[in-house]
Amino acid sequence: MPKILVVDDEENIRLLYEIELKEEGYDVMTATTAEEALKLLETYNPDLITLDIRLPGMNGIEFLRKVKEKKRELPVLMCTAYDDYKQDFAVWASEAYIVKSSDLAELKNKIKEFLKK
Amino acid sequence: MNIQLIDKIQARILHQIIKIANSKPDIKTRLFRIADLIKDEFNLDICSIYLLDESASLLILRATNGLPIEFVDKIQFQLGQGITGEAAKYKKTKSSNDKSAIFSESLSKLLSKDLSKFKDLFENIIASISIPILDGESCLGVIELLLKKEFMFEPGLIEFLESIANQVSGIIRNAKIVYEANQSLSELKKINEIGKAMNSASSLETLLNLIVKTSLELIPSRGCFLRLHNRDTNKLEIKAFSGFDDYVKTNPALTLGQSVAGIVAKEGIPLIVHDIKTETRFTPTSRNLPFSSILSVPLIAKGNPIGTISLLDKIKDESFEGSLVFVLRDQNLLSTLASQAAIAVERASYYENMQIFGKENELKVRELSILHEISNAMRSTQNLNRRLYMILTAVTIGDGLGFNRAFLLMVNEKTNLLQGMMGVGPANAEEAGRIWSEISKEKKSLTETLLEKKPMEELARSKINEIGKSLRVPISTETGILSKTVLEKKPFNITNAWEDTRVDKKLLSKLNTDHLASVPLLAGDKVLGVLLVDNIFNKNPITQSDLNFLVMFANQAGLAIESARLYSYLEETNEELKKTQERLVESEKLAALGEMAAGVAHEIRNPLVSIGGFARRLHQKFNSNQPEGKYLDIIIREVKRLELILQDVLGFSRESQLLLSKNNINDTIEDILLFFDVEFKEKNIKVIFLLGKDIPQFLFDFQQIKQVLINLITNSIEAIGNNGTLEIKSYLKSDNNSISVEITDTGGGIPLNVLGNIFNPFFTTKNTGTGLGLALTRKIIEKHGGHIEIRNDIGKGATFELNLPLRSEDNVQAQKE
Repeated sequence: MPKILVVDDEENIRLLYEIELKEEGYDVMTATTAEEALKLLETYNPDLITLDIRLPGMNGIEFLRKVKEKKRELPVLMCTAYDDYKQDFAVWASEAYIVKSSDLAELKNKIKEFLKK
Repeated sequence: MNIQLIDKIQARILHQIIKIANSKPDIKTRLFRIADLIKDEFNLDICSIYLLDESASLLILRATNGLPIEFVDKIQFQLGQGITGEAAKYKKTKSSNDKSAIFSESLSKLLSKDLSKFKDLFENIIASISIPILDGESCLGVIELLLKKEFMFEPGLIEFLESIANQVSGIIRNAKIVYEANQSLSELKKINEIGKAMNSASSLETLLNLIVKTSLELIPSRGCFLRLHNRDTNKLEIKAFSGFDDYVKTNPALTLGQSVAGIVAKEGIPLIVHDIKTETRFTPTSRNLPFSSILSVPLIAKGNPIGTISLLDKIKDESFEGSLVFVLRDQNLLSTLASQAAIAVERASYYENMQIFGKENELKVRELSILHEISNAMRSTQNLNRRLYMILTAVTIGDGLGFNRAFLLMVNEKTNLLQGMMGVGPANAEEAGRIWSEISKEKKSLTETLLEKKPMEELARSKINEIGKSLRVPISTETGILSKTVLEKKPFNITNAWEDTRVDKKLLSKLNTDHLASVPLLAGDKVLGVLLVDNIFNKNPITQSDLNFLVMFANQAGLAIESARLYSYLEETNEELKKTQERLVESEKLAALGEMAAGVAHEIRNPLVSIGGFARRLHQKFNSNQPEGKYLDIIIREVKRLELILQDVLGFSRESQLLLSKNNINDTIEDILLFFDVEFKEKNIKVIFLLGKDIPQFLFDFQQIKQVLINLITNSIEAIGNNGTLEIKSYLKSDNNSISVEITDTGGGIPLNVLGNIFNPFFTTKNTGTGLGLALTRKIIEKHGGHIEIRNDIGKGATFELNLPLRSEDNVQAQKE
């Protein structure tokens, strides 16, 4: 069962993603901060990460760099309320850039796409 | 006779003579009395007294007893002629028994002609004695005694006669002194009067003539020249004269130092020349002069000679005391007059200069004040046509420049033509008379006339204006006087226009004139046009000063025209600036909104995801037929709407780059319509598709165009409400370079009070909208290089037409470069 790590500081979002993705048949773990997620990277060893950019403490972009340093092949989907970061070179390292929406269809499609490989 | 007797007689005679000498009568009468006395006392036949004239070469009979009165002033002896002449010459008493010695040539002549009846008077004369009248070394005259018998030379008699002659000498001397004193007195009186007259002379010319006249009165002469030094030519010119008219006519001005007057003026000293023809220093120029003697004195003002007074050929006055030639006395007299005259001349010419200057000034002031009034009036408008009209009015009205007609032509640089703009003036002589008399009755000031808001239509209809507007002259060296005015940038005053080769005859017949003046309208170095005037009705000649004034005016008019032009250019620029500023304010407003909106939007988006997401989850558990399902539908739809609004706001507030990719516009339309499917059904809106099959794929930002279509369709749905038709049409434009998408609804059209604002950001008629929809729509379309148009049919509906250029890789590349 593919394992997905959801990193988001919004509790409700974490809950929504967890339920929805579990229903899609994934194993889901959530983290509130990048620091917490960094620990889980080793202990949980996820197959895919959904990552918010604005986070308390270390932000999503810094975390993305750390992830890519350690596990180059691990897909990271940026999930953010801001589409400004699209222009940021740093996010190019991620696999996709998704603007958060109440309709999770796009997110689910992208997850499917990257877990197939 | 014994000595005693002689002494007695002598004493009596001397007593008598002294009495005569001290008596009142004039010198002539006294000399007659002495002649009487001598003849009677010595029992002589004839006693005459001759006096030497001024030149001291002629003895003239002045008094006599025994000779008829007719001989007085007529009988003359040359010095040395006869014993009378000898007595004068050698200053010694002479006697003779030779009858011939008593005659002179003049006497013989007189006796043979006019006075022949007195011949026998001299018949029996057998002896004569002539006693010189001596004054020191010089001889004044001779007392001549003639006897018909042998003279008894008693001892002491000659000495006695000589002492009588001495007395006579004293009388003459005194008389001369008295004469000269009287003369001086009367001369001084005269000079004083002249001084007064000179100071009140009304003009320089009158003064100069007065000086000439007075000089001649003081010292009677055949002529008088008054010369003044002309500082410009450095020559002495005759400014007033009397006599020798023919000579004056031919006489060139003298240079300083040339001839008598020239020397006098140069040296500043008076000069007497007795016979100029023989004076070698003045020949040969003086050889043909019609006069011979000259007295010339300088006119000196403030130490500088300013001219000369010259008297020519002295005329002897009636009294024998006066002299026949110019003497020192005359020179002093004329110098006294000259010193007074010089001051008066200097003052008069200064005054005259001031007057001329004053007159010129007055004219200038008048001209300037007219110009001032005109320029003030012109400042009241920046309208070019009104200014042109004011210019021509100013040129034609009497209070202004007063020409009959005026035309204005402007240079068109593009076509290189002089183009008639306007003409002002009466159509014919009758109209001229009527208008001018009206104007003179109205008594309006120049400013009032200029500011009169005479309707421009009235002007446009006038015949002269039609002629003016019809003038067209190519600017080249061959097309006559108007082109010449432009090319040479100078005025022309043509009096005989029909004979003047410089003037185009067609122009003359068009204007129906035979003269004209043309001046360039200049603004700095640039020729803006030409001002053309004539005086066709009153035929007043156009003078040089008229032309000068016109030129001065034209310079001002040129500047006024230029400034009106600049003003209209300024207005345009200002308008543009205003628009730019409005746009700037708008974009600043947007930027501020953007920052705020972005902040708010992000805060809202996360909760919206939660609300919408969980609602969707719940919806799976309820179907839409259940009330809960319907409620959840509402939640989901509203969240979706909110998310769209957020996208609007964020999309607008950020200047995102277009993400161009090749797409099919029809696919985009269909893609969106699926999105609205449910809504169409619910509201019973019929959708008609008219999609052009021939539209190629082209480059556009799929997401943004999708956004545009969503916005427009959302608006249409809202306009329709329930039950209506929505028509969506796409087609290739006839130019094959662009496509159109038309969205037409049956929503009743856009109210007119709203129509002007619908593309403005933040303008909304809805309670729920952000007011950014259409503003954003237009922005996206314009970013694609297209445009959006509305066709509004009030009561029926509205059509939004999008036009997008068909961009390909090639022309995008071209655009980047």
